[in-house]
Amino acid sequence: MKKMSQPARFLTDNGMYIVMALVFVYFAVSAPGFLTANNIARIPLQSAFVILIATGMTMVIITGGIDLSVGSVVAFTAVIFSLILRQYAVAVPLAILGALIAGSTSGAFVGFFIVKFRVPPFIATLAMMTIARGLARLFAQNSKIFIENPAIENYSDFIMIKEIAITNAIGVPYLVILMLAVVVFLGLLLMKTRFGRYVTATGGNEEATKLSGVSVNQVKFMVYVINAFLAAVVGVMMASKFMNGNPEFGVMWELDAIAACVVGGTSLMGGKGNIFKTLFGALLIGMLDNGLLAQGRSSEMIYIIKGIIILGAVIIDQVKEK
Amino acid sequence: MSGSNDIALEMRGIVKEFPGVKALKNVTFSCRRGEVHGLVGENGAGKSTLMKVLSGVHPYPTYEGDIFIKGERARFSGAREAERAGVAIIHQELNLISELTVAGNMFLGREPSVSPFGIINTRKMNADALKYLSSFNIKIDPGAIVKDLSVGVRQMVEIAKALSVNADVLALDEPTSALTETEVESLFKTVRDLKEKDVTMIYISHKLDEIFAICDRVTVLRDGETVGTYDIGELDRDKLVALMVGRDLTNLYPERKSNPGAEALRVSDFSVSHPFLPGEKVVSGASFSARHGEALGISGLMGSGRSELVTALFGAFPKETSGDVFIDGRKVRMRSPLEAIRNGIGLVTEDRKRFGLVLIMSVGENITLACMRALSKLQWVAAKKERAVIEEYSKELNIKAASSRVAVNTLSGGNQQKVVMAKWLANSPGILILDEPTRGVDVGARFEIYQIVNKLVESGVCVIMVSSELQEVLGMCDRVLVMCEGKITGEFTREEATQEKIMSCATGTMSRSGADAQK
Repeated sequence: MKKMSQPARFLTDNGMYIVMALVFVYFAVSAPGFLTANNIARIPLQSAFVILIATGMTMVIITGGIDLSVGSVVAFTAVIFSLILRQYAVAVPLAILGALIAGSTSGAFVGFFIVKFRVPPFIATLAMMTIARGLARLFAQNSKIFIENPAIENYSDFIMIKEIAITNAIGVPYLVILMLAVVVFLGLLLMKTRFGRYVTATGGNEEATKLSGVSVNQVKFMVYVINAFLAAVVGVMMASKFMNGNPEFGVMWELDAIAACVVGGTSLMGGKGNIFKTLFGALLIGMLDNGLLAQGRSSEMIYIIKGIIILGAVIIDQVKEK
Repeated sequence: MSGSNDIALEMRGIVKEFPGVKALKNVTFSCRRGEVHGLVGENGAGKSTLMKVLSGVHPYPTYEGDIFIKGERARFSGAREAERAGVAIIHQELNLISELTVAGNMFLGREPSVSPFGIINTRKMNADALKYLSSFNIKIDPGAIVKDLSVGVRQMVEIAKALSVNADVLALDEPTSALTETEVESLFKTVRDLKEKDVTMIYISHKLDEIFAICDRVTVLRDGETVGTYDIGELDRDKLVALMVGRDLTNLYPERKSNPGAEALRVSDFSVSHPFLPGEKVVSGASFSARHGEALGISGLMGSGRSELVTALFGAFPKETSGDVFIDGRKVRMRSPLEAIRNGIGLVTEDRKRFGLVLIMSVGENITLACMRALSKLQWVAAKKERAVIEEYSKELNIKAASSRVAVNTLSGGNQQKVVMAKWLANSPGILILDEPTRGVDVGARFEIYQIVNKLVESGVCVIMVSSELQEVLGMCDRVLVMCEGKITGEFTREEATQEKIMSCATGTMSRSGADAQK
């Protein structure tokens, strides 16, 4: 093992933040309209949905797994939520509860197959990805389900969920507050609780953890349920934001979430990761999206540049490991 | 007579240091061409390290000293280069790919291909393999899949593979540890055939009978130093043991008062079925008991079922296990390690890297992994309490680490093992099972581990110690059980146990009734 010089160590230890700072400065100089309070404030809001999924994804990846289903679960939940509201004149909180249960159930299924039948997480969640997307399209009959039932629109609590999604009260959008609360909660869960310790240990060495009296099956099951639950929360919020349940919501979001984890230094081998760093990883990607758009780049270019930056961030991480 | 042509290999003044340990202090070692040279010494004496230096696993500037192969100075930068110079080592853990054929393994990375597209010419490869195999009288079908072969045959494949890259210095590291008697016979035959063909062989073994049966000369290592090289004719067993140990056994194994108390564990008709082969049993009908304040040894060859027995006792294979277990006279069922832990059992597993430690977690996190429940309230981990536990056991076991926050994989083998032990001591177990507790542990740390074990036994813990080292079992345990092919084939008190008696029970040459008659 070679010892790195002090400056080199500083650079690699804080690689992501340095890249972030550089990207920020670059856009501030080159992209008109990037460096305005309004635009900067928009970045966490735009990234909030992906961040919510990425926090749960971080835990899944730390156990050594992966979850490809969450993007589809967002759509599935949004459709279910809109359907419940349209078909049945139930109170909105009940509709939320129903949708969250439906979404989380998909995670329970995935966890069950992984734990009980030893289906590799990649396969189990790949299957759930297509199943949930298919169900969403089936229930929505391949179109959007609009939440425009006048009877419901009059409910004040419906207005409330709309507010949760977009309204400003103290200058910070509720959505961002909710996102930060989830990040802090799960971050502490991972770092300060027994469950969190077990999550890390399971990913580090499943056999040794099992032989230390930990039910790794329970741990693995739980992380998929938590992740699906977060995807369901996002699904409900998407539906309330756009006033419809669209079966095409959340396409490729699982990949954005995984990219955020990886840029934040989460190891796909398991055993290593940090939810707060995932937050910054997602913000970096969000900043790229925002800044490149402000520069007037085409969406194709944005894809390509994002890919290169993700690769670069991970290479810095690998160099550090050596 | 000793022209440089006759010296196949020479190692002079080899020094190899690991963080915290000097594994080789000053080793001199040389082999004549075409001889079988025994390399003996206790575990931790430095045999494996020396072989790793020789075979380039520890590459050139990481050690001090000179190596000459056939008179030429060698400075290997890796195992590849050593292989090219004709030095090959057959490790205890075999390095074959189990899904490939024999020939596929032998020619891995240098397969003959038919076309520029790189399609492997299987027929030619098999024919070439057969040529090598038959020239050394090894009768194996080159097309056989390795996973279908027994350990002994696989070893032959390894040897043939080494020879096919033109190795003429071959080091065999504990080649017979997992072989049946007939397999040992055919290995010996191969060794003799190779000797005829002028292949130089280094033979590492704990089994002194084998050394006397097959070796021309012997080099003895002790605590990282060469004691000397001897013609086999000038040695007998006792002399060799004395050279290896170099001091009284009482020095090696610290003294302890034996004062067994009440029965801690009783196992009756305990069986473990094979996880993949229905009908096969890896442990069958084992019955024994162990008491508080007693160290019970379990001896036996690799594959005799000893590890399976203790791992199953720990609740790791609930579906495969049958039989009754009583703890402190109370019948218990252990369907998971958690239940075993709740019943006061701890298990220091055989392979600490695979089953004992989460290598990328910190020393502290590993120590508290099994007692998290006691250290947390409503999931929240009590950081202060945890730190106190970590400090207590790091100190008690004298764990040498820069801090308890460093990853456990930065520690030496001995200190890693102490971390595993700390993990279980933090649970204050009534019964502590140690499966090969000193494997890969240097001499100093070994002694410390023995002292810890003795302290536990004196404080009334029931210690069950599985070990393939007879001396360790004899030096540490009040009573010894011997296993062979899944059955308990012998039981001896410390006074009646000898290496010979244990070995004959372990190899199945003495039946259980025979062992009983010894009493």
